Amino acid sequence: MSEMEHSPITSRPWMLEAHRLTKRYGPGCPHCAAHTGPEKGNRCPFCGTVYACSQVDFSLKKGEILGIVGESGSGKSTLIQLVHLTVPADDGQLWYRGSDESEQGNDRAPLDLLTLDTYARRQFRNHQLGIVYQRPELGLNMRFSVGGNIAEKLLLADWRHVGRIRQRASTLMSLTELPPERIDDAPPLFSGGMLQRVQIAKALSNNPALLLLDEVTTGLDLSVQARVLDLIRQIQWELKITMLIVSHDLGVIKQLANRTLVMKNGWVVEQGLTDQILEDPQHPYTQLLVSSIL
Amino acid sequence: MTSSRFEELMMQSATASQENHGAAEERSDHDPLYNFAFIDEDSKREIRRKLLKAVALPGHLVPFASRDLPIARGWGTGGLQVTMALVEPRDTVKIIDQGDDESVNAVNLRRLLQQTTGLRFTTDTTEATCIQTRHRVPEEPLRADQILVLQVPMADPLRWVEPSLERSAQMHAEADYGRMWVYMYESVVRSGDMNIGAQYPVMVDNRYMMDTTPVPRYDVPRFHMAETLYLFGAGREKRVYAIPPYTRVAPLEFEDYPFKTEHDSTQFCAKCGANDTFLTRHFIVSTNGQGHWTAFCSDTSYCHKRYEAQMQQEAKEVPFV
Repeated sequence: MSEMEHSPITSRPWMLEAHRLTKRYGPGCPHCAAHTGPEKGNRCPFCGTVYACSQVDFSLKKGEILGIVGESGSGKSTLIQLVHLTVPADDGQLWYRGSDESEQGNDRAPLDLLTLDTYARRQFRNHQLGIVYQRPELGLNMRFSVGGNIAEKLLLADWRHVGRIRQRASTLMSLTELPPERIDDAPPLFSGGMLQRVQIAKALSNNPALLLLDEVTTGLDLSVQARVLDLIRQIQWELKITMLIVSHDLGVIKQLANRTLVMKNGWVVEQGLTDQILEDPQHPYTQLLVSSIL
Repeated sequence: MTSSRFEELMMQSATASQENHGAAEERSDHDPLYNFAFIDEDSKREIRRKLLKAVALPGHLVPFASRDLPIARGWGTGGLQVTMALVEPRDTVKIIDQGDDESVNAVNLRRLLQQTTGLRFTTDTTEATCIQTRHRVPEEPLRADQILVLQVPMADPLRWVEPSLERSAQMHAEADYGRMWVYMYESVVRSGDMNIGAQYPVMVDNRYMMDTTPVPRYDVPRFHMAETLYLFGAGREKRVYAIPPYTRVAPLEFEDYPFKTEHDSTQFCAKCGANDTFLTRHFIVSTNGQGHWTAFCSDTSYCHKRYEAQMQQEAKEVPFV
């Protein structure tokens, strides 16, 4: 284990940093700024523009799990899509400093991911990011076998040996508690919880620097939910992987996240260490969220 | 044929047979209503411009304004438009289908071109300056002064894995070919080897993934670093693409499942005895009603040429009695 893995997260350099990240759907007008906000709503009454994410700031350190919580329509999934570079941002910066730096810092200049062209974005997404969606059909191709789905990122990383690809896929299936002998089965033959684990195996296949989890336990029954959460915790413990988790369920965030962002109407209303947020919420909206589950 | 008759033919979209090869050349410079090779000049200019773009971006699918022809879409309209936009009165053209000069599709296309251009036609690959083909590349090596035009039924190799044209165009733009590689992986897993017979996907110049049209795997290596310009026309899909001379063309393959052609060293052509050509199997019916399968060269003109040469050689070797 490296020296950095022993160090507290707070002393590590940031890996991903967002500055005033904004995504709007609509033309925007001079009245938007005055008539939208966490308390005013995310839709401008003059031009109808919807601000899905407004001036979001956060930083993510290597090995950290950052939770994003909020009610439906608060901009959580848009934020994760912005980080996944599948949705173009309208404003702001998204700085990335890589994952291979040591605690002493690295000499690589941070890169604003929003300035990359579509080809470079695709390359970055394929090699640095992994994502797990709430709905497996978004993350998996149902026509291909489970092994084929897991192999996709390996093939994109120029793996060209079927034997080695299958070996790696089997290892990942074992890691995610899936029976490796079912490597050639099609996804529709798997249960909901197993499909989430297939997605996790696929996301981990290329050793991503950052794993994005979008409502991974929503829609699963409690026992399956607990197993998926255990698996994510175990993977984080073993692989020390940096994660960004979106959930509307504070229970999930409580179990997994080191720090938490609370979003409302596209704005971040509160952020801090997860236990601080849960024990001593400052914003009325956070207080409402916490009181509704505890 | 008189010049007034030829003019009449052009006005009526060319319906009658034409045998005077010099007539087209004589008329083209004088008659403003005359369009050499059936297509109007604006359409030809459109096709030529798009072909230039295709040559500049090897393997890239270039949309073009495909026009109607007096043959149905899907019967070689793409290849025919490319050929018609390229040929000049001094050209010698060869048209083949499945390697055969006398198949129905080849004969029909040849007739149309013959009636509307008066060009010289040949079945000898070495004599032709422009060869239009469907499903085969001729066996004889092509030269730098020749152009091979391929008719394409399905231009986009990603169609197998992505039905949306918009998304597949984006996948090409971002070189996002992971899903196609998974398709190849699945092919190996399900059948034990690559089970793609024709339309084998290739990477052109290490950038664009390209469909090789329904040529057999046997012909795929001929595209790599070839001397000849290969032009592909898909009339129904309104796309042209190209492999310029000396371009790297690599079939998709795995280290443990390398690309293989269909060549079978135990099979020989029943007519010319060739073992180094692409063979097709034919069922030969005997006089007693029985029959058997026999292999023949797919490239009929090459086979016939070899056969003739063998006959001449044998005739020379027959001792004088």
